[in-house]
Amino acid sequence: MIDGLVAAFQDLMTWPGPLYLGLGALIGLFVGILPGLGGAGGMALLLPFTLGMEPSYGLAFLMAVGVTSQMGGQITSILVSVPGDVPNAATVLDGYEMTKRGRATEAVSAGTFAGIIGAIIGMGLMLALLPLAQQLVLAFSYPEFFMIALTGLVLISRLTGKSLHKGLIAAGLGLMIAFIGLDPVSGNPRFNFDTLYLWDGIDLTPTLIGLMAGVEMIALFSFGANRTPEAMRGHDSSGIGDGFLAVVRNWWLVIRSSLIGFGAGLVPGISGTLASFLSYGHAYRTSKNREEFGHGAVEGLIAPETANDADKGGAMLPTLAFGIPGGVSWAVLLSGLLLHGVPAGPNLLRGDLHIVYVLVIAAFLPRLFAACIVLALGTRAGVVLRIRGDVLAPVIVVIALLSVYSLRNEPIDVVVLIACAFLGYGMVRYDFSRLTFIIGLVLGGLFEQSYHQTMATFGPSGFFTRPFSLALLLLAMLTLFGPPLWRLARPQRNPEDKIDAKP
Amino acid sequence: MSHLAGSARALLARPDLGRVVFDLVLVAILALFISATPDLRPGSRLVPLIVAVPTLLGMLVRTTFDVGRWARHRSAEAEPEPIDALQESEDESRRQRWFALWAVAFVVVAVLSTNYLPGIFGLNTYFVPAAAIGLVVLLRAVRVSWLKTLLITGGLLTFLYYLLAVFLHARL
Repeated sequence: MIDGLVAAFQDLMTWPGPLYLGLGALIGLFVGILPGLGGAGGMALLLPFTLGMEPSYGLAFLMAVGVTSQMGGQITSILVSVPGDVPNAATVLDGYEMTKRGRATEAVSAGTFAGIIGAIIGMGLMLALLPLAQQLVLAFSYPEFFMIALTGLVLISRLTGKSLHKGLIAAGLGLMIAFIGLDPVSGNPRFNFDTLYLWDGIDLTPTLIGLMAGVEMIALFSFGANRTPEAMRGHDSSGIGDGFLAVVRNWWLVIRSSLIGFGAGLVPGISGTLASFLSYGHAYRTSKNREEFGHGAVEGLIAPETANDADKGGAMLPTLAFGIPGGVSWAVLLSGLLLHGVPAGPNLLRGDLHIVYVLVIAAFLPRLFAACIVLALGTRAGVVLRIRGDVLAPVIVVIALLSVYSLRNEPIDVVVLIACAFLGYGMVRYDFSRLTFIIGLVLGGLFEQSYHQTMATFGPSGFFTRPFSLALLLLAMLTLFGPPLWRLARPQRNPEDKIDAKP
Repeated sequence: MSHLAGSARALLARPDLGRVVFDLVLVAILALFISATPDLRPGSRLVPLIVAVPTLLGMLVRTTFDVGRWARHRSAEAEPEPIDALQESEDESRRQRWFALWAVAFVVVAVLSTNYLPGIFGLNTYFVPAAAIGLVVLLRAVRVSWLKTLLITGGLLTFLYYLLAVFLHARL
């Protein structure tokens, strides 16, 4: 493992590797500061540009954008009480209050230092568990691959969005789109409706950009006028050192929050949002100064920001080991792996681990660079918020449309992008999960291929007689039917008990 | 007539009807896939049918539920409207519609111009001129000054030219 990490580090430090990592960090900070766009949208928009790079550089660039966006997002959360990225929502609770009390720099500094320590702990735990995950994956065969895809879709449908029903529908739709093109078994074209464009299936790049960035661009455009950060209007009596000391004083909270973040990251689909709120809740319950929470308690900022960064290490494991993304950004990264010809899914850990180590390095180094920038700029980074959303959005859309067209010189790619933007808008508006749709799209090939390979090699009993396959199937069944059965089985409260309980 | 037009607009603007329309679009997509399966070999259509049929059934249940709720909303004793996942003001809704229309117009104009108009020197398509015109129109619509509009448009197209055509050797 050490040799692999060193080789990956040397690869990324060879020019133009540092350029891509640095650029990715800067872009990630930028998209994170802008409310609404987020790391996943930014990664989707940049996919076309990575296709001209070597796979390790292109994927490292994408990873750099994804992991640094939350560091930018904390700035918006702290300065204007709007989460720059979804997982930064918990940071608003106390971060903005600190700004109102003239402690904005302390808040930004504390969040940054806490995030770095969370990142170190998260990555360390991930590397410690990687050999175990590799052993597990080596024991897998076709039935397990199929069950991983199935269980992943069911699990994420249950955990994301408001409705399991709609999550499963979105997953089914994603799978059907993935089936367009050549049949993996016979090689015959199907669902191409007599068009040459669909012969090889729908291209992933315009689909992802439309789905992930379309809604965000619409929201950014209607976000409209700028917001002047509070810190730029009032005074700020705090310094970087105050934030650092706050993190040192709360070192035990930082470690606990890192473990919570890493654990939450291991559960596919949940991403950083749950991790940050879980950690915030834990910090509140264990604090001796609960009354300060919601009024500028620095622990209320340290806990979620630590968890936000630690969860990256946790989310990396299911994404790279099993092909089940830890969140939306990881789904986009998985798509990037496919586009660069890297086998996403269980086969990734079975083959050359160089890409895995490259992604580990790329998940950490850019965050250090971004942290230095954030600490150097402090609250001045909020000047980005003065850029009008209704000016930025059309500019980004034009870049996206032209870059998608430039990939294959195919005008229909641009039409697909627009169509997917409308589809993504409808999915967000009416609570259909885009994440499960994308996972269905990415895992569709693995899903079908492993099904046919299982039937050919083991027969139908292969799904039920192999222990890992059966365990995954039981997990899928539990995920589907467990909560409703639990609600039925739970003893109903007798209203008279409440009356009896009164003194 | 204006009263009817206003009522139609109001009706179309209700989130329930948009929800039903979206449901029907998804039903149509799934039905299209299923309708294409008889032409496939049994091995090619097995897994798609295993996925598509339950998904379509689930979608039909969903649609029935949403149609029923929409029908109830039309009655005098309406239930509270479901909370829209994208709660927005009327102004934001209008801006979103305009932005979406602009994006569609940009693509349609560029594609149609490329197909039916003579080529431009040095370019394969009309995407670049469409981008320039589209940006100018939209930036002016959101009241950006002429100077800033031209600077932003010129700067962006120059950046894209160097990034795509020179650096990535893309043909626009």
